[in-house]
Parts: sequence; C-alpha cells; structure tokens
Amino acid sequence: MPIIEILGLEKTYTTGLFRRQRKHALHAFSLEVYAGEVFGFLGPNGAGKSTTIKLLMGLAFPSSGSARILGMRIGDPQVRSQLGFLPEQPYFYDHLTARELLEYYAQLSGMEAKGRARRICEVLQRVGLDGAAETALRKFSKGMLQRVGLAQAILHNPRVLFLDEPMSGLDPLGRREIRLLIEELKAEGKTVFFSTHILADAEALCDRVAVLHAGRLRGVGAVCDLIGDAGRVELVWRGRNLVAMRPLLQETHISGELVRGVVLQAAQEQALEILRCASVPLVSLTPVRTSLEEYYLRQTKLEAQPQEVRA
Amino acid sequence: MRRRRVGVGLLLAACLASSVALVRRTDEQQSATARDEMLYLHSPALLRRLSLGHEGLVADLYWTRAVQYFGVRHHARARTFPLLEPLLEIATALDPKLTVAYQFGANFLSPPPPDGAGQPEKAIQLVEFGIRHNPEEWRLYYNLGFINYLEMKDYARASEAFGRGAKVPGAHPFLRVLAAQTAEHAGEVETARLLWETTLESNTDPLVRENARKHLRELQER
Amino acid sequence: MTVLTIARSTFREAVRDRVLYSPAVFAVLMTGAAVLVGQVSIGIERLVVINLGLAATTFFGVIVAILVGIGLVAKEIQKRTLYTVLSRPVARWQFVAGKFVGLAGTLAINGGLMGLGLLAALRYVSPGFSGADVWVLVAVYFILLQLLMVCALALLFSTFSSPLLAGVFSFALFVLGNFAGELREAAQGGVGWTHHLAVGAAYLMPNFSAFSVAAGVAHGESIASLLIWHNSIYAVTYTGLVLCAAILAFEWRELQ
Repeated sequence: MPIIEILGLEKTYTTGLFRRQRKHALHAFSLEVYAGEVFGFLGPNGAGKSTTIKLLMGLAFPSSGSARILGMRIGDPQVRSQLGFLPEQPYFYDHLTARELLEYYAQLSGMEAKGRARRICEVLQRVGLDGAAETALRKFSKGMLQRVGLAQAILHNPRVLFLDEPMSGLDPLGRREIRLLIEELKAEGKTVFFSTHILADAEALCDRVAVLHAGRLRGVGAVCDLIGDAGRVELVWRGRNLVAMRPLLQETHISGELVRGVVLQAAQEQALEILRCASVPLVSLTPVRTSLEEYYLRQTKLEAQPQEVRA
Repeated sequence: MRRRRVGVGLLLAACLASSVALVRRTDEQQSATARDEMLYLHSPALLRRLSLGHEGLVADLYWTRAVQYFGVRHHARARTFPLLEPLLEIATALDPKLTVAYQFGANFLSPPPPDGAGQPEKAIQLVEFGIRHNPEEWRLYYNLGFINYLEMKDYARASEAFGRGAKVPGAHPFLRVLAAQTAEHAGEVETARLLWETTLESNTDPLVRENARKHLRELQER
Repeated sequence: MTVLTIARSTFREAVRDRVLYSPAVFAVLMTGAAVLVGQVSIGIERLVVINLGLAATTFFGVIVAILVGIGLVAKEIQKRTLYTVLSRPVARWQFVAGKFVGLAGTLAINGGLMGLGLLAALRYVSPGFSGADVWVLVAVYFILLQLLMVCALALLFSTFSSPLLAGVFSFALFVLGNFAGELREAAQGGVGWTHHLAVGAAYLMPNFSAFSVAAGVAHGESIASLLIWHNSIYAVTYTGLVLCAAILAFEWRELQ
C-alpha cells in the first residue's frame, strides 16, 4: 500500500473583489509514494509544489479530490503525529532559544517528558546546532533557521517527512550535510517527500521524481530510468574547430586551445577519422548521459537549442 | 559626514527657535480672553458619550478647569466670568455627586464682582440641582440658605433652606438655630455673625475659613 | 494538555515582548500624575486618582488587549510560524483556545499591575485602608472582564483579516460597546428587516454600559453583588460566543 496516495487532488483559488476570478493553483492529479523512498517533487517557482504540500498537511483545503497518508485521510490530526514538516523559508518564534522551541514542539507532538531532553540534544547535534542551543532564534542566520526547521521536523521521529525546499538558504557545505541527513533518514526507513528546484540535489538523492509545471503534473518516474545513455559522445581535442567536423557537431565549446564537441554515437567513428586525418591530438572521448535537467526541461517544454559557446 | 551632521543640527535648532518665536507672536496677537473664552464642547450629553463610561473623570477635568478659570480671573480682578456657569453645569451634569462643585461653585458664582461672578440666581439653581441629586448632603442646604440670605436677601427662603437641612441626619446642629434666627431676626448683624461663625466651624478648607474670618472681622468693626 | 502548552507559550511570548510593559508603566505614571492634578483643583484628590486611574487602566488595557490579540494571532498567520504548529497533532480549535488562555493570563497580570499602581496612588492621597477601596478593586475587575471581551474580539478578527483591520474593528467595537444601551433603544424604532437587523446587531455588540462603575466607585458607592455576578456571567458567555466564532472562522481559514 502506498504511504502517500493522492487521488485527483485539485486546488482552485477565487480572487478579486467579489471572488469572481478563479486561479487554478493545481489541476487534478494523482500520485503515489511508497514506503522508504525519497521522492522529489520538482518544478519552477509557482508550479504548485508548496500548494500540494500544504494540502497534504491540512493547512489548505482541496477544491476536489482527496489524499491519504498512512491510510488516514489528510486533515486528521492523528495522522500528523506521524508526519514531520519543514515549510519553505520557515519562521519560528524568535523570542525562544533553539532548545525552548524544540521543547515546545516536543510537547505539542505528544512526546513523553522522560527522554525529551535527551532527544532534543540528539537532534540538535544531528543538524549541527548543538553549539547554538541556548541562542535566541532572532540571532540565527538563514542557514541556521533552516537547520532548526529540520530539527523540529525529525524531532518526534516521524514516519513520513515533508520538506519544502530543504536546501534553501544553505551554503554548499550545509547542502551537503542536509543531503547526508536525508540519506540517513532513508536508511532509517523513513519516507521523504521533498520539493526542490535544485535538480542536482534531486538527482543525487531521489528514488523517484515528479515534475510539476503551471499546476499540472507533467511526468513521474524513477530517476535511474530518466537518466540514461543519451546516445551521444563528447570528444575533446587540442587545436581548432575543423570545418569537416561542423556538420557532425550537436554542441561545441571552445576554451583556449581545447575544443569540446558532442556528436551522435553513430557519428563517433566518422568524427575520429576526421581528427586522425587532420593529425589533431584527441584528449578524451566520453559517453554523454541524459541529466535530470534535460528531462525536466523536456517536461516543462523549455528544451535548450544546439549552441556554440566560446569561453 | 561630520560637517553635514553639524549643518543639520544647526538647521534643526534654527527651525525650533523660529517656530517657538512664531507661536509666541501668535499668542500675543490673539488676546488672552479670546483664547480663554472658547468652550468647544457645550453639551453634557455629548461629553458623557465621548467619555466612554468615564464621565467622572471628564467631570473632574471640567471642575478643575472651572477652578482654574475662576482663580485666574479673580486674581486679575475681572468683572465678568462668562464661562464659569457653563463649566460648572457640565461638571455637575456629568457627575451629579461632585458635591465640592456645588459648594465651591456656588461661592464662586454668588458674590458680586470682583469677589465672584455676581450671579446668585445661577448659584441657587446649581445648589438646588445638587440637593436633588444629593438630598443627604446637609452642607448644600446650608449653601442654599447662605446665598438666599446674604446675596438675595430672601430671608424666608433662607430660613426654609436651613430648616430642610436641619432635618438631614448628621446635619450640623447650628442649622436648626440658623433656621430660627433667620426667620425671627432677619437682616440683623447678629444673624450674619452666626452665619459666618457656622461657616468657619463647619469648613476645613483654608480659603473658606480665611474668607469667613475676614467677614467676621468686618462685622466686628461695625 | 495541548491547549495549556499553547497557552503557556503564548503567555511567555507576551511577557517577553517588552512593548507590553510600556502601557502598564504608562498607566502607573498616569495614576501618579493624578496625584498632582488633585493639587491644582479643589477637594477632588481621591476622586481624580480613582477616575484617572481607572480610565488609564481601561484605555491602556484596551491597547494591550488589542495588541496582543492581533499580534499573537494575525502575526503568526502572516509570518507563518503556525505552519509548524498545525503540522503537529494540534486541532485548530486547540490553537485558538490555547492562544486565548495565554492572552487572558497576560491581561490579568497587566491589569493586576495597573490596579496595584492605582491602589498605591490612592494610599498616597488618603492614607489608611478605606472600605470603599474594595469597590475600586471590583471596578478594576470589571475593567479586566471588558479587556477579555475585547481581546476575544481582536482574536476573532485576526483569524480572517489583516492585523491593521483587526485592530480597527476591535477598537470600534470597544467604543460602540459603550453605547450599546442607546443602540438597542434606537434599534427598537425600526420596521421590518431593518428592525430585525438593527436589533440583532445591537445584541451582538458587547454591552459595556453595565461595567462602567468608575463614577460611583469614586464617590465610595458600593456595587451590588448581583451586578458583579451578572457582569461576570455576561463576560464569560460573550467571550465564549466570540471564541466559538473565532474557532469556526479559523477552521475554514486557508493558510497561504
């Protein structure tokens, strides 16, 4: 049974002076997420990712359709004891310290008083905030707030985590730490549903992804299926861009005396022959794999054109 | 940066000095009486509504204004007190139990200028209003009798007022004496002396006592 | 239990919000100023201390009630701090109830401070405890009941409108509540639907006229125990009515 079942979920907002204008934030879609997987919810800003998560968390109400989490309908307060949520650009009670905030959330989550303090220390250490436990949140940087947000999301050991842009505001080191944390959570058997527009993170972490664009679900698939052999190879040689090569090249990039060109696999031998005849030294030959970015751009109909780039 | 701060500071001081000078000039051009004679809100009913349940405070403020108004004009030996009666009317309408306003207010209204406003009829109206709302306050009957006797020379009404006051539980025993005295010996020096002695004995306010002593000294010299 | 947890957190936040101390301090200063005002008038020192003290307690208490009512709920909605609260097993009605209980505690402390300041000023102008001082405390209690009703209104408005509008509506109802008796009388004069609407609106308004005992208390008049009971029960039922409306409004509120 899927952990998260979305059945025809749709959200329309009415706006305007007499609420006559309708805005489709989400067109009806269905989706399933299975236990223990890291599921990436991709899309540009305004695609409807946060709206979907808010509907699942019961913060907003669907116009039609339904969803179930752990077999219980969304909006049931009891299901929320099994969920952890990190909102996008979170705000917290800035008059509290990190420890006081987590203590408050622990009480609201119904955690037993015994062991609460130990769990809070554990979680603060895990997100790298054990040194700032007694600092008021108003003094926290954006990155620290993101970490404390993660801390409160995992505090009560939920089975399912909803993370809305978890890498937002983090430097490369912070992003790496969060990636490692998500991998650990997966190893613990938790299901992680996270939204992002940083495709590299999704590619590195996710088992499956869905692409949302303008409120519509454009595609769902396993990452390993979506990233594959592109049927192209990349050649790097020293010298100049040869006229004979130009008809074969899909992409070209010239940097100093190195030329990097991409050709179809079928044209690989022909390209090598041209280089040999011109006595041009070959530096490398590498197969090209389709990136998640290409899949994403394809699904959102914003493919890149073949181009020659000079550095 | 530092020069700019000094410049802005000097400009600020110059603006402040000029605005103070302009205000003072405006004050000089507008006469003091023109300023003083403005009573913006006349209606006790409106003031009661505006006070949002705290009409007692507004009454205190109007009473204080009446005291200040009388004090300033009395000190300046003014001959008229046009705002005095309206201020007292508002204060007592808002707080009918403000007995001090009746007692002192009547004493401000009744004597002839420059000692008072020279409006004994208004003083009587004020005190009668006070008696209607505070029938247990014997001093108000005393005030009424006093004004009727000394200012209005209406000895019958004075006697009647003293008589009514004498019936109030806890009233000063002199009220009964005054009722009889004013009925039988109206207009006599002895009666006036009795009135002022009663005032001296029954009041704790130093100004009232000083005034009573002054009148007793004048009677002594006759 | 959840309600108490939210109440404790709300109380702690209100207490740490330093701006809430300013009205209390100011009210205490106003009461002290009343002592000085008595010296430029005649015979009204005690009257002025009580009248001004109670008026200052009401006025500044209303400011605090509205500020905390809108600040701690509308601010949470605006800043989205309540996303992480409602993502837990916390029902929306528990959030509203918990907020109100915490705010009520804050108002009680604030009102208590101002009442103490008033008593201190009263001791200065009329040394020795007077039996009439008890009624002054009852008047402070009545003010506190009014503040709870105003706070509940501020909480209701902040569940569905912006902080600024919530503040304006709450203050407007506080003012209208002092004219409630006259509004009811005026409403009787209408015809048909106008009459029914006007009567309905007049009864929905908070009725503060029975709570205004300052003038009598200043003159040492006692307050009937029936009035104390009546006002207490009215405050509880009216606050309950408003809180139920706030819960209903919040249950349907989309959090964007």
